[in-house]
Amino acid sequence: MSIISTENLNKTYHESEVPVHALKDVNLNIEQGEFTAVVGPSGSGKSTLLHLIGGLDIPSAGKVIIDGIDINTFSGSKLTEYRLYNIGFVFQAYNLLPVLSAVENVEFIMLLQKKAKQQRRKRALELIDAVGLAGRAGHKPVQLSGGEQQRVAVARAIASNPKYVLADEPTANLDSHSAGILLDIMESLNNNLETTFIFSTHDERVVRRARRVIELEDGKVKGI
Amino acid sequence: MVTGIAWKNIWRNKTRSLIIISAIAIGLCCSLLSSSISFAMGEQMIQSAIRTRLSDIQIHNPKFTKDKNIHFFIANAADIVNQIEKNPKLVAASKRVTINAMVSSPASAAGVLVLGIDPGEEKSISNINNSISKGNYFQTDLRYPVVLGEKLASTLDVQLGSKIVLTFQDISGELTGGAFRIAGIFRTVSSEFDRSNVFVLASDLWDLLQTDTLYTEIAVLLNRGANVDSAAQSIRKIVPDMKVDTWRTLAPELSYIEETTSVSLFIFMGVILMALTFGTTNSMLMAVLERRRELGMLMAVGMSGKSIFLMIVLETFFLSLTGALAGLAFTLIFLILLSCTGIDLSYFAKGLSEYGIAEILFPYLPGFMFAAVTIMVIITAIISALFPALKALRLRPAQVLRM
Amino acid sequence: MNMYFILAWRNLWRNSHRTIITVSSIFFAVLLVLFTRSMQLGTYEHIITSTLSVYTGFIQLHGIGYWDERSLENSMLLTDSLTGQISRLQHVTAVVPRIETFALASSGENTTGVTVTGIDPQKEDRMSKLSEKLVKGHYIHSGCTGILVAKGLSENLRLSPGDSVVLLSQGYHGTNAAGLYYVNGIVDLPVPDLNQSMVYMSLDAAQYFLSMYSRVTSVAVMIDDPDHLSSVEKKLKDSLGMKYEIMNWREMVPELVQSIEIDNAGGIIMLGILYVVIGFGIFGTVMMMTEERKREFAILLAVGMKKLRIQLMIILETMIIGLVGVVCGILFSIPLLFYMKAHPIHLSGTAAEAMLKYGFEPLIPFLVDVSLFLKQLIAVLVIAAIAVIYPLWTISRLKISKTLHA
Repeated sequence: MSIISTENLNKTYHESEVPVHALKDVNLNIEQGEFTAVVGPSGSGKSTLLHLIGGLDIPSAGKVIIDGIDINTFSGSKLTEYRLYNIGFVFQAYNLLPVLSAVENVEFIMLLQKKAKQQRRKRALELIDAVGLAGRAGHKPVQLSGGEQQRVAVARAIASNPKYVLADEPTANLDSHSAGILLDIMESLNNNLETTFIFSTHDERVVRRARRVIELEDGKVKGI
Repeated sequence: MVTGIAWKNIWRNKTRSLIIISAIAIGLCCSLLSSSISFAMGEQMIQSAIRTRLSDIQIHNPKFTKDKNIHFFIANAADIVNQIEKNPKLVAASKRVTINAMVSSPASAAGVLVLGIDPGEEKSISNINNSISKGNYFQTDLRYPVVLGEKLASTLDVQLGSKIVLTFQDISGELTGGAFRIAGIFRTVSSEFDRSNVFVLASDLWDLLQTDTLYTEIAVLLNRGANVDSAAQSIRKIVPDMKVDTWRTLAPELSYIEETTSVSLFIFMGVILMALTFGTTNSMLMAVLERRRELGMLMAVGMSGKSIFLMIVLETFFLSLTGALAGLAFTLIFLILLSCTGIDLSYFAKGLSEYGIAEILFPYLPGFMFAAVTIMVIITAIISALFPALKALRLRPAQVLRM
Repeated sequence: MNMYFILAWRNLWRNSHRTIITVSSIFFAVLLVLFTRSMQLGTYEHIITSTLSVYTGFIQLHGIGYWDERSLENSMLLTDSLTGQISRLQHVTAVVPRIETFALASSGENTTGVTVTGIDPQKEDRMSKLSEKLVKGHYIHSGCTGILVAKGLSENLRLSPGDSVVLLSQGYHGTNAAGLYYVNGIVDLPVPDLNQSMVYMSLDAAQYFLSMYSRVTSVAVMIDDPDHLSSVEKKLKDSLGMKYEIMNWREMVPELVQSIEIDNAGGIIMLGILYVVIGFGIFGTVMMMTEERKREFAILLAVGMKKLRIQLMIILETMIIGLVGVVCGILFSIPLLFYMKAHPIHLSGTAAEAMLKYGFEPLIPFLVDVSLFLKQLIAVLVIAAIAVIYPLWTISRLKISKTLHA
C-alpha cells in the first residue's frame, strides 16, 4: 500500500496580480521505503509539491492522503503535531538554529517530542556519528561547512523517527564532493531504517542515484 | 532548552539588544533616582513638621479644637500621660499650654502661637533645642524667658535679651499678658514655623493666667515607622472623652504630599515604561522578521504555535529584565553613594525651607517601589512581546521557506 | 530633491510596522509632554496671578526699610501727586494703596488676633475682586467707618453684619489705637489662614484708627502685561528709587518663585527622561534601518550614487519620522489643551485642602502657548539629528566589495 498519495492536487498562488498555477492535477503514489527524486526546471512546482505533502501549505484543490488520512482535515495544531512525529524536513538553506551546536540542533526535535534528557542526548550523538560528524558535535553551525551543516540537518530530520523525509533541493548549495557524501548518508539511512526519502533536485548527479524519478513541468507530472 | 535558546537569541544582534537594554536601564535608573529625591523631599517635609511642632499625635479637649480658648483645657493631663506612656510604640509625650497671642515689640506687632512647655519634656519630642542659632534653650536665670524664631525676631526688630510683650486672653476672657525676655532664637528648616511660633515656660503662663497647673495639648512622639493610626486608636480607648488627632488629620496638606508622591511617581514610572515598550516592541518585531526562515523551519519541523509564542515572549522578557536589573543595580549604587554624601540643594534652599526641607537631602526609595517597579517591568515586557509574538504566529512556513 | 523625498517616503513604508511604532512613540511622548507641561505652567501662572492680584501686585512701593521691618514707623506718605506720577507711567493700570497691621479684635467674650487691612475699596475691588467674595451684608466704600470681616473670623467672634467689634492695636509713633467698629459685611476668602484673620476697612478709617494721616504701608502697582514689568520697574526706580523701597513681585515672594523653579526643574527632568527613552527608540529604529540596508547602500554606491546623496536620503527619512510624530502630537493636543484651558480641573478633597493651605484656589488651569509647541518640535528634531549620526557614519565607512561579499 502506498503511504503517500495525491488526488488531483492543485495549487494556485494569488500573491501577484496574475494567478500562478504552481500545480495542476497532480496524482501520485509513493510507497514505503522509496528513494525518490522530484525533478524539473526552476518554477516547475517541485517545492510546492513537497510543501503540500509535508503539510506546510494547503492545496487549492485535491487531497494529500497519508496512511489513508487526508492531512488537510487536521486542525492547525494537530497538523503541527503530525509533522513532528511523522515527517522529517531538510531545506536547501540548511536552516539550523545558529545559537545551538550541531548535537543540540538534533536534540531539539526530540525536545519538542518531550523525550527524556539522557535518551535525547544519546540518540543525538548516535545520529551525529551516523552522518560522520562525530568529532564536530559541539560546533555551532557557523563553524561548519555547508556540507556538514546539511548533514546535521539530515540527522535532525530523522531524529524523530519519521515515516518519511522531505528534502527540498538538499544539494543545491553544495559542491559535488559534499553532495556525494550527503547522498551516501541518505541512501544508507534509507536502506538501514527503511525511511522513505523524497527530494527535489535539478542536479543530474543526484537524479542518477534516485531509484524513482518524478518529473514535473509547468506544474504537471510529465513522467514517472 | 527553549529558555536557553531565547536567552542566546537576544545576543544574536548585540548592538540592537544593548540599545534596548541600556534604554531600559537608563530610563529606570533616572526615573527611580528622581523618584527617590521626591520621596526624600516629602519625607523630610513631614518629618520636619512632626519634629518641630506637630508631633505624631496630639490630644486636646474636644471643644478646644474648635474655639482655641484655654477655657477648654485638658483636666487631668498628667494622668493621661502616665496612662499612655505604657504604649510600647510611644517615645515620649509632652504637655503644652497653647494660646493665640499678639506679640509686640517697640517696633512692631504680630500674631503668634505661644507654646507654654516644660523644656525637659519638650526636648524629648521636638528638636527646637537643637535648632537654636543664638542664645540657649531655657538654660537661663532670666525671669520670663522666651525662645522665638529668627524670622519673627527680625520682624519685631529684637535681639537676644530684648523685651517683648505677649498679650492674650485669660481663662475668663479678659485680656492679660506680660513682658518676656528673649533667651534664645531658633531657626528650623521651615521659615513659616519660625515666623509664627514662640516658646515660653508653662509655669510662667500659669503665673500670668493666675491658674494652677493647666494644659491644653498633649503631644506624642512615636517610634519612627510605627503605625500612627493604630497608636491613635489605642490612645482613644484610654481617653475616650478627648480628641485624639494624628499628624495626618492635623496637617492634611502634609498627608496629601505623602499620598501624591507615591501616586504621581507611579504614574511617571508607568509613562516611562510605556515609552520603553515602543522601543522593545520595535526591536522584537525586527528580531521576528529577520528570523522568518528560522521560525518557518521550526514550525515545519513541528514546533507548536504555543512554543513559538512562548519563545518570543521569553526573549522579550529576558531583554526587559536584563535592562531592569541593570537599571535597579545602578539605582542602588547611586542611592548608596548619595545616602553618604547627600545632595546639596542650597541653591534652592530659600524656596525649599518655606516647605520645611533642609539644604542637604538624602534620597531614599521605599522598598515597595523596587517590588512595584519589577512587577511593572514584567507587565510591560508582556505587553511589548504581544505584537511581535503574534506576528511570529501568523507566519506561514510554506511562504517564508519559499523565499 | 523631490525624488529623494519620494524615495525616502517609500523606504519608510517598506517596513510599515516599524515606522508606525516609532512614529507613535514620538506622538505619545509629545502628547504627554504637552499635556503635563501645559498643566504645570498653567498652575504656575494661576499661582502667580493669584499672588499678584490678591497680595502683592506686580510692583510695590514702601517706605524705606518697611519690607524687612513691618512696622508702621516705616510707613510712607501717600500724596495725590505721587499717585498721579505713578499712574501716568505707560502700562500702569492701577495704583492700589494699603495699610496692613496686626490688632486684637474683641466681641463679647471672645478676643482674637486679626490682620487689619486698610484699603481703597474701589481700587482694591478692581485688583483683587474683593466684593465678589461678599457673602453677607454690604461692601465698604471710601470714607465709611464700617468693616468687612472674613467669614472664618466672623464665626469665631460670632459676628454678623451690624454687630460691633473692638479693635486694639499699636498706632503710628507707638500711640494706642483702639476703636469700636460695626461690621458692614462678611467676605468668604478661599485661603483658610486669611479667612480666620482678615479685617478690611477703608483707608481713611484705618488712617484714623492708627493715627497715621495720609500715610500707607504699601502702594501696589498693576500693569497691563507682565512683559513690561522690568521697564515700568526701571522707570519707577529712576524717578522714585531714592525715596521709596521699590520691589517687584519676584523680590517680594522669593520663596514662591524658588518653589516654582524647583517644581519646574523637577518637571523638566522628568520630561527629559521621557525624551531620552524615546530617543533610544528612535536610535534603535534608525540603526536597524541602516543595518538591514547596508547591502542596498552598497549596490546604490556600486551603480554610481554618491555617498552624500545616500546620506541625504537617510537624513530625510529620519526627519520625516520625527516630524510626522511631533506634528501629529501637536495637532492632536491643540484641541485637547484648548478644551482643558476652557474647563480647568477643579480639585477636591485633600488636594484642594493642600492647595488652599498654601493660599491658592484649588484649580488646575492649563496654559496654551506657541512656544510650548515649538519647544517639542525642536526637542524631537534634535533627538532625530542625534540618532541620524549613526547611519551617516556607517555609510561614510561603507566598503562596496566587502558589503556585497558578505
